[in-house]
Amino acid sequence: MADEMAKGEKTIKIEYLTRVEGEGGIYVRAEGGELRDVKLNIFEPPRFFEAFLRGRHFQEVPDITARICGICPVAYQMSSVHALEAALGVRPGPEIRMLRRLLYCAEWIESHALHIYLLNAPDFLRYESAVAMAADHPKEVERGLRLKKIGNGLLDLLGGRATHPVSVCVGGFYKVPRRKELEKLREDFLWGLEAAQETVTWVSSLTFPEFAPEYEFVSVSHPTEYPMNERRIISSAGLNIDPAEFEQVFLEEHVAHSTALHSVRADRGSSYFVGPLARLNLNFDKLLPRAQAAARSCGMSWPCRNPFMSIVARAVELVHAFEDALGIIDAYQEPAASRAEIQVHAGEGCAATEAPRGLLYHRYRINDQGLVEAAKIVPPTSQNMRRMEDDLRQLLPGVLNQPDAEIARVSENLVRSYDPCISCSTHFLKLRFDRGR
Amino acid sequence: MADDVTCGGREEAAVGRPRLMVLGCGNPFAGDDNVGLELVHRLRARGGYGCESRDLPGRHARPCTSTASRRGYGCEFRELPEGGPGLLELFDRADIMLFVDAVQSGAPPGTLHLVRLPSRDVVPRALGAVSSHGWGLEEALRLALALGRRVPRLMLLGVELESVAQGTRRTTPVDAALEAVIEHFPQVQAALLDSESALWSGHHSYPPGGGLSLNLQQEVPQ
Repeated sequence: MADEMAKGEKTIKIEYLTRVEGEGGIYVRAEGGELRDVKLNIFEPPRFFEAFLRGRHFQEVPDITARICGICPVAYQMSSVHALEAALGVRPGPEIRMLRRLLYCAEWIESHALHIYLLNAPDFLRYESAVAMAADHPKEVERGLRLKKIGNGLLDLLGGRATHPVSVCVGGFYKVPRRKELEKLREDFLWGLEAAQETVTWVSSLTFPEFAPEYEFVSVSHPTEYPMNERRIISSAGLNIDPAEFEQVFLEEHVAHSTALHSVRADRGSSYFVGPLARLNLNFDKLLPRAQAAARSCGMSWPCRNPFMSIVARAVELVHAFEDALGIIDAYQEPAASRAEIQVHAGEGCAATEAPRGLLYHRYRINDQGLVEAAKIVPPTSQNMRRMEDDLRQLLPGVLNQPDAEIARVSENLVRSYDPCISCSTHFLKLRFDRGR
Repeated sequence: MADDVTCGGREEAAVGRPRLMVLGCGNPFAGDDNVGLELVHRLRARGGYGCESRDLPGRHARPCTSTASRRGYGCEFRELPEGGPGLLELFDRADIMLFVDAVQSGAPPGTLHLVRLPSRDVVPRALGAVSSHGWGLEEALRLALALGRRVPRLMLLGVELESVAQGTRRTTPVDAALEAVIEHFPQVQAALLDSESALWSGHHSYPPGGGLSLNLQQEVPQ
């Protein structure tokens, strides 16, 4: 961070916002003690995935889109296979559906454990990094590492490898696990379920800034399940739509300071909020019993509008993911066929699933050869980008009288609470602060 | 993991036999930057070195026949995992870790560098930038130390690069260096497994074209 004086304005720069996925920065300008401008500058180069998917065979899509993110490749695989199956009229059987849910649980576990323990908790405990935190909180960091390892282990088994899995295909899986392979993981998952509940207790004891803006929370919704792979899209403002209506309701806009698009409500141009806090607020009653009990007993009231408390929602979802995974493992029967048969024809389809960071929308149009003619991907971080700027606009006036380092810390803490995945949305983060003095 | 070949595990550690892990680093599509990955693939495909080639598609486990294997040494070839904390988890699996990567020091292309890590000679993120969450080798090392975890002995085998242009093939000097490492790998392996080896002191460089020899007289003067 460096200070500089120019035309009576003070500039604060955080050249590198750490503990986020991707590259970007925050620009803040104030004059006479008044906040004038806030921008999330995303300068990670665009990645053009939608363009180079064109002309590819539909069955290549899950492998290509998995490469969008090293933390949440399953989300990209799940949204793509569901969208392509909608285009092709394919409906995999219940065993495949449960295995996909188990795969998603694995990703939520590894991603949430990483974010809670290594990326976000140091903010609240005032450490520069997880490494610094580990010296004083070794038990917690070891717990986080083991939780993450368990998630990775399940990903490895189901996906063929822990990063960028290779087993997922349109119609199902290239290879499904043997029951005895899953049973071997059971002991780890029983430990994980207890450790996840300890995580809820630990993170809810943290001190959070007082901040509760009015939000429109948006998430996937299923009639009987906590949302992961399907089905409709709902919001706290009463929205209830089929994913096919997503592009009529939500609009992606280009802004000059960002290589990531910003999503807003098409009708009123307003920002909205996706992610664990949105999911939990909108689907509390669908949490499994242990997760719901943990959420009720942690001392927080739900729905919760404090974005800093996303870490608690993430921990509750960690409990849910372990509970859900154990149920699926216990009930697992090896399917007779690992994937549904596909009759290739031209078609168009879309789907929304819940990535660890929030709703992830995909749409594909394929021709009668099964080649992709058009692809659209709207990642959760793009959808939260405008919301993060709006939050900073509301939060920063209350801290402008604080030292520059404190303003920077609060800003970074807020952004990291969203667990942005900038690589996914560009498509790295630094704070530049102009303070008129 | 499907991509990994393992021979020698905890059982061997339990009886005090060292386990070597070779970690290939780099970008497979960026010219000389794929030299670490290529070395791991080639050595794995060759077999021996105390390894079994199990889990490789289309291959069957076969017994270890190398000298290292007969002595009970284990050697595991891996690609550097993505997602930095994953590296921490590998520390438990080895007594010695050899990172192989393309490096840029200004030496002639194809020059080989053996550097004990951590070292001021190595810019940390050049080797460990395995995750945009900011987790590399340095972070994994610091976290392991903060947690009081055991850390293996670490060595970098750096191959001086000529070009890392996207979509290009490896250059001739780097290819020659790769062949030299493969030819001399048994000696490298033996030296790494010997904690008294002079290799564990400082930074050793070997000129391009001269092959990799553990005769330190062939080193480039530092």
